[in-house]
Amino acid sequence: MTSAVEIKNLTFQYRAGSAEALKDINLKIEEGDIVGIVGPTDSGKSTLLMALNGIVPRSFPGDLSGEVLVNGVNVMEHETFELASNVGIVLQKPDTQIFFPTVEDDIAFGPSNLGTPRQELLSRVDFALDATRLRGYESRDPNTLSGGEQQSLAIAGILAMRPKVMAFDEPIAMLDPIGKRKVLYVMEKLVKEHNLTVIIAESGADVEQVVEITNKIAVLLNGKLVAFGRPREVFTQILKENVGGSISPSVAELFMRLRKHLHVEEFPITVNEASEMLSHELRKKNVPPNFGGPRERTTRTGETAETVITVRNVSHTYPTGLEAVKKVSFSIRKGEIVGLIGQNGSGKTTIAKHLVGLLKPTNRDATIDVKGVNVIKQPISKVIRVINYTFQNPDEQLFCENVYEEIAFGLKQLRYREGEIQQIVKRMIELLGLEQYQYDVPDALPTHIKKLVTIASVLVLEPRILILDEPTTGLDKARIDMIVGHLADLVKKDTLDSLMIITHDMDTVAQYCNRVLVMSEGGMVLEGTPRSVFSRTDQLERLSLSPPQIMQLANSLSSYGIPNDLLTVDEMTETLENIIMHEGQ
Amino acid sequence: MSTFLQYRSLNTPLHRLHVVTKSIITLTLLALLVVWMDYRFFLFLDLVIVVMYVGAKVPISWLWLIPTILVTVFPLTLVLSTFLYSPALFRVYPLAEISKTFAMISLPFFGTLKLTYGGLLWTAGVTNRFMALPVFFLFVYTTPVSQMMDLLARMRVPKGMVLAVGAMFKFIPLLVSSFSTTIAAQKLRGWDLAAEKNPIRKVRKAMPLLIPMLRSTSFVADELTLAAEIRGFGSSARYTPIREFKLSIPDYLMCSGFVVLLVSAFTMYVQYGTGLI
Repeated sequence: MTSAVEIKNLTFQYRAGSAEALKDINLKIEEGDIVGIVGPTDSGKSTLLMALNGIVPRSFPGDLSGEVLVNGVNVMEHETFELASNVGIVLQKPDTQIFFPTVEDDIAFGPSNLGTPRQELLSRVDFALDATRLRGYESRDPNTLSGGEQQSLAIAGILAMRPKVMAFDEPIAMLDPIGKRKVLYVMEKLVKEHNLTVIIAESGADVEQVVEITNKIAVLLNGKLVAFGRPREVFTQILKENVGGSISPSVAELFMRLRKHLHVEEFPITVNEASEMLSHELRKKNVPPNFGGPRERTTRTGETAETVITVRNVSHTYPTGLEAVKKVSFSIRKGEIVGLIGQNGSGKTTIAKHLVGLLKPTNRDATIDVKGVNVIKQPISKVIRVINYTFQNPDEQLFCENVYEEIAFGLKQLRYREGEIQQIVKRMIELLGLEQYQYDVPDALPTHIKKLVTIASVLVLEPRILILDEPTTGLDKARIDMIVGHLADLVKKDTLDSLMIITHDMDTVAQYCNRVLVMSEGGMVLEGTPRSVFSRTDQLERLSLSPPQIMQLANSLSSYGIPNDLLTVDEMTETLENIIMHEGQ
Repeated sequence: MSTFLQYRSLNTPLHRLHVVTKSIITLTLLALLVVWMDYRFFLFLDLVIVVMYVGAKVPISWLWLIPTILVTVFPLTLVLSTFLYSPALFRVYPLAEISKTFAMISLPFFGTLKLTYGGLLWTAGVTNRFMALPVFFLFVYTTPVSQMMDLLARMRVPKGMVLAVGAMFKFIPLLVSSFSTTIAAQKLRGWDLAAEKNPIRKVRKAMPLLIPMLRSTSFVADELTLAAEIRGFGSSARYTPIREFKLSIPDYLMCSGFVVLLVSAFTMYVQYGTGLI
């Protein structure tokens, strides 16, 4: 029987690249499989997906050797459009994949291109609408859909071409937790009901959700396939061998740490599996309620700390009439690392842009005070020395010939003297560990280093508060830890008064934040410590959010005495080790 | 949110019209803007355009460039009119009247220039052709790209060109959004283009925008090409439009009205010089 995908000795090097993006890949994927291709950022996942329909090397030239067969068809012998009904690829950003002003028109685009007769075209559109649960949305403008729905539309557009294999390049990276769940549900349904083969590339930040639906995992590291097989087998292997550990689900990492105490051959990868295995252990012990739960993380200086940001009654209505922010009020104290979370379109970025003066409130009674600076009245040039902001995509900002110049740019704009500039830039480079990159061209840097350079380029103005907009998108856990961990340290060391992180990544919030603000439909609806916010599971569900995997596990084990507000792998490890050692005494 | 040059689904009378009707209206308005140089005619045309623009709820903010264009173009064209002045340009107004000088200006290199009423009329007629921009905006705002592509496909326009039109309307809003982010990001690094008054230094100071913008343009173009190829773009098969072409009664009425207007205007223009100055 022919495999859905067969890759033989595939090696590829981009023409502009200095190293091979793919190294001797051999992989067989069978019909009906859902395969996760997991690997850190820049490990070759996207290149591998693009090779499935010949976009690599046709649109991205380079040296390719080996063979890629999809349903027995050698993709190198056919044009991309000829393969469209064999293999479909869904990219990360829905906005570049949606071409038309209505859902129905957009779904029809692919089969229309292939000259499908109108009756068949309409039936394919119907099929795609049903399969992706977009029925009822036919005439909707895609711009009015949520992030999850837009990605479902991108999937529908590919599905209407009736491919036998569908490949997804980080399809849920930009979605809120419920949006992620919706899209994964659609993928699972496609396999079950339509016998498709699905391949999902994932950097690690969303691996916990992705493994819920996969039956095989392939791990790529530096362009090499280091493991392939059942998910539990693969994650156990890479954790034990200590390769690519940062791409494993939190519960697998937890079992890796507890392996001395829990003698299991394969680590669990989902909350249900972990919960089942741990309840078996915990049933044997009589654990008192809320045993040894870790203490609440608070701000270093608690309620008495200086208030650094005060926002009162801020509303913002865009010229189109969209009321993005409605009478929002909050304050932030020194030492707080604030996670600003909420579903796509809830107003997070709009309110954050007000804090740095990029947007002004559209109501008159609003006030924004940041360390004594009236942000509404002061020019941006004054505000940015007190509070600053970094955007998600470094490529929309970097332009200098090397990293040093990039960091020095802001100081030059503010007319610092050359000696001062050298001193401050040197300090900044050391602070963020960019010494080895300082004379490199920013364009050629890996994604996470580019992000660090953009952070350095605003931190150099010595603001006391920094806002990071979606710093984790497309990064694996190790690189997220490198960036966010570094900045959290700056707050601890008093270099920064406060840090605000706008994110969909609940693990990052759980790991680094000591305060959470939750927005929904333009309003501030919930706030508190991560522990208190994430423990309101019903409310979070209504807000399209969900707690981190470890907290879900803690919740499921609460009847065995495990505190239900544990947030991180460290906390859960500590608690479980205490229980095991307690029993030993 | 209504991005620049992006269609918005609204239920205005103009939005409800068929793409064929809107194309006829647009072409008629554009043709009349070209031929009607006399302010007595083009002001009527302008009024029609303004009423349609407001009625279709096209964002006024899209017109931000028009005052700049007018302020720049009008005086230049007026100066130019002193060189291009020829009695042959005028077929309606009496030559004696339009040759009268109403002002004289001295310019370096050019010396003293006489500004005539004829030059003023000609300048007004030429400058008014920029009303083509609101007409274009009106069409773009009220017509989905899919309908434009349908129309072009039925007119047997080559598929590559049809899809290029589609991609262009997708490309511009994505670029506008990316450019706004770049401007905001650079402002947060202390960059301020408005503060620089010297035009040469101003161009040099635009570098922090230009490079990321070029990068974004190339990135967006690559992404769109990739997305289009994945969706079968490039196939030699004939494009299948999703809808039947059906015109409603208001469509027939509007089409007939504008076709009559266009034909009559051209006949009168050719026969009697109607609309000329």
